[in-house]
Amino acid sequence: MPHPNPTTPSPAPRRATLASALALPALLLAGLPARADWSLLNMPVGVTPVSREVYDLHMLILWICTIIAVATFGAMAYALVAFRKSKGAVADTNMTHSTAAEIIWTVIPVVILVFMAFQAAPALIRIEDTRNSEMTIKITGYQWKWEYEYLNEGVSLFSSLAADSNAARRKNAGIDPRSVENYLLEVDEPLVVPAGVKIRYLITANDVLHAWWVPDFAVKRDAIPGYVNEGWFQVDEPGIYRGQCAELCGKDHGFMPVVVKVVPKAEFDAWLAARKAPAAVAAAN
Amino acid sequence: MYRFELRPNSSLTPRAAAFFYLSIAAMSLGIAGGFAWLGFWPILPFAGLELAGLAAALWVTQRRAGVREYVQVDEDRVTFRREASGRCLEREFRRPWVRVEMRRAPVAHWPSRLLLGSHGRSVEVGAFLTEDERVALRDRLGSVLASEARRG
Amino acid sequence: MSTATTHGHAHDHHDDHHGPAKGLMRWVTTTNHKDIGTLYLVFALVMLFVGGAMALIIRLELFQPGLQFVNPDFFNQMTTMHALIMVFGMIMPAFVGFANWMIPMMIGAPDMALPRLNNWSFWILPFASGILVSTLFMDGGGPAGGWTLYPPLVLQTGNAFPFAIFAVHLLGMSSIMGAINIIVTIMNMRAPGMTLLKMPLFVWTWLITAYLLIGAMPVLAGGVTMLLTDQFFGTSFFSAAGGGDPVLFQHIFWFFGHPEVYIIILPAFGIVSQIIPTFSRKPLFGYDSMVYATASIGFLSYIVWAHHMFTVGMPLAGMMFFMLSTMLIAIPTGVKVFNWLSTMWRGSLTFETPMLFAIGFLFLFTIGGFSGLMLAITPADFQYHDTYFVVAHFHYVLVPGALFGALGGAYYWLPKWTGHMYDETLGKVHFWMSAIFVNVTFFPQHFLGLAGMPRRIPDYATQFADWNMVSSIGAFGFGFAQLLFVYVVIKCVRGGKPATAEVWDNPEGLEWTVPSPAPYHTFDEAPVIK
Repeated sequence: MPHPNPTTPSPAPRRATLASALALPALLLAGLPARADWSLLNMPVGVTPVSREVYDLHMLILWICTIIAVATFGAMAYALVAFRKSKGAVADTNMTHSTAAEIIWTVIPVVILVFMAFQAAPALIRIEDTRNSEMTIKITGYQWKWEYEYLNEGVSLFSSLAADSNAARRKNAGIDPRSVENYLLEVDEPLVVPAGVKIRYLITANDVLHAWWVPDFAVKRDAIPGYVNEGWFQVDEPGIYRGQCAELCGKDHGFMPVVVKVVPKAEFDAWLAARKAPAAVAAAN
Repeated sequence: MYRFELRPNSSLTPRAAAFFYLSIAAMSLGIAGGFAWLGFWPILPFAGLELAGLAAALWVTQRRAGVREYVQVDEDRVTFRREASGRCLEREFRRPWVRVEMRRAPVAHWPSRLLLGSHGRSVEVGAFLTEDERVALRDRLGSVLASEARRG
Repeated sequence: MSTATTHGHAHDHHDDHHGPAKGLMRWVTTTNHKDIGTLYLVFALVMLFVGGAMALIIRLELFQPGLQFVNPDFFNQMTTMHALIMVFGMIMPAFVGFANWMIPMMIGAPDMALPRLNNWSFWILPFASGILVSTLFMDGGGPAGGWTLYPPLVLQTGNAFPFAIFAVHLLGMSSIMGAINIIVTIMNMRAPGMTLLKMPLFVWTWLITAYLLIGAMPVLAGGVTMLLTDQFFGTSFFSAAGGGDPVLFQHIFWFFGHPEVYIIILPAFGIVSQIIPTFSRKPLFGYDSMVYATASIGFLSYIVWAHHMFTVGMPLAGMMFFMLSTMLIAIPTGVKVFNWLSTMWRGSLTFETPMLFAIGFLFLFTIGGFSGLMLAITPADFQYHDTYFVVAHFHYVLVPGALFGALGGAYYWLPKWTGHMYDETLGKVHFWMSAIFVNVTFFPQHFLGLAGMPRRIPDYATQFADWNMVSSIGAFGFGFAQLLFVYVVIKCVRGGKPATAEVWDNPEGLEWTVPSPAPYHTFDEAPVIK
């Protein structure tokens, strides 16, 4: 089972005070083997095929940048040490240009960029391919809550910040946010979806722009009033996955979390049927 | 007998100015026109205003580049003449009383002023010159006046 | 006796010309490029603290989870105003100030081409910024929809809305007037022999910046005008209900916004390109390729705008195009970095404060460049977008990038401006404090963004608490370090070791040769044949 709940406070960063902050690079290196810290330092691997692919791309470009950085910064550091006037360095004033060097440091980056583009383009095509989905959910952003509609099922629900988070987030509420479980990342009613099913979502907004984001799915798409965007995700592992609105939408932008509860297919069907029942009763009346 | 001709530096010929303006106008109008074509016409008037401003700026500087100042030192008089876009200013001073005075600005960083005159009447020469050029002009004018005076 | 003859409508140019007014009026009426440069720089320094105070309010609230100090709406006003003030009120005026002071000296011109326009373009600024700041006290508060002014949210602004738009118009007008003046000065006022490819790189970067301003500013002006007409005159450019499209505002905004990014950074490139050769005691490596790289960056900046909005749901081909064009920017930027490095290579380096800031720029701007390259990768951008990773990225290019460029330039030319040497020890302390705290502030924000913290939120989930605390501590440290800069500047203005004309060890450029004699070509003398 993956670790879908990112709120587990790990003990290590409690020490992250000024002293460790001043030694950031050292901390970074020291943090490498400490697996527990990774979730607070790096992008989550996530739980969807897309999120794993995005994570791999992220790590690839991060490593490429790191290698270039080590080379470039190494050369800079060498220059700063070796060519000091105080060490008797004399300037070579004839060294003013070199066509060969210019060509080299143009061509090598081009090659790297072409390589990156060839890595990224197929991933992008897969992310945008919403065909062959088994169900469709319509997401609508409101100031400041989400509406989820199970299309063709007649089921819809609103999802807004959970009451305990909502109480603790008031100014000078006197409630320690650390005492609230999943502070700001809990809703009254989560989106429930079946595991192992390709789910297409349509997304729009009712008032201003919003953006629906679940880091573990690597899904972020803007909700735009008057327009319908689409995307997809497929989660194989049941669990609870949390995210937030990612597009400034007014004063409570920080207080409209996204919570997705992924359950086995059978459980989902049962849940859907149960949701439908009262709706059907209401319709019959 | 000496004649000085002073003209402001202008590194932009009228032809180059026109070419430069057209290149900027093409860029700016291309962008604004593209947006107008998409229906966002309010960008166009702002681009137009801005290009009108740039045109005015170029016109003013080009016209100013046409300013000419002449200082002619004859045996008994010194003539100053400024020609600027059809206008002409002329001052004549009696040679023996002419003074060339370099007045430093009362505040730091301001340009000094080179005044040519006599009996409390004076005219500023070469306001458009750089500081170095003004100093050089003062030295040249001073020595010409002095040497001619000796000879005369 | 002297006689005077006046022909035609001659205007009698007389003594009362060119002389500065007395006292305060001198600064109001001045047309001298150095005075106006000083005004711009002082104004920018003041606004650095105004915008910085807002940043500290943000970091204070984010010091720990929960809301302790401000309400979410005021928090949003702070993020919005901090950005608007820093971009339009601080960093752009600072570089216009440098341009005013240095460009005429560097190209051998007596002043800017249009001194009176210069005066107006400065004096618009305090009014515009005053209007902008005053919106905070209006009914409904200041603009709180982010500096990007995205509709429909921005249309929910209270009474402040038209005033904020008006302020943006005025700030844009000031920039355009400045750009016109600078571009005409560079084109028309170069000393004989100063061909385009002999201009110092700072002049080159400003020439290209001015092109970008002239191309991009009308787009901003038109864009915000359409917001205004949508709100008050019943148009629906960006209202879906009336057949418009809110996303098109984003296209318009970023069509302006991306060139704006380079409008901010190019002059800093120019300053660094002046500083590094001086303290390496070597000419700039690859001057021509630096010029071409700058021009390429300027051109590319017009065709990458949509990388700010990959998540709006663009056609696949559009995303591919903007991903590739954005990646291309890495090439000319890399060329610049490698040329700076090669300038130091086999040089004879000393580490006075300007050089320290230039080296800090070189390292830290490059980090911002790397995160920029990461952000260009569209699939990964779906994760990075609108998180603290983006905040970290653009602050790395803006603070140790643009601001370090400006601070380095200030130390570099301060002796030229004041005639005194600044306090080198304090300057170095200022650099090290800035360099350490800027990293403490912004490096952890990479982690926060990757771990999932969205930007523009006043409160956050508890797992983000530690790095936010670190970042806030860094921010206050950075803020206080800048007070030291003010002290160094004041001390330098009031006195100090007299500076020589050259100031540094054999620097290149006309500005250092003043007051030694330059060849004079603008007047001829010829014996008159009688």
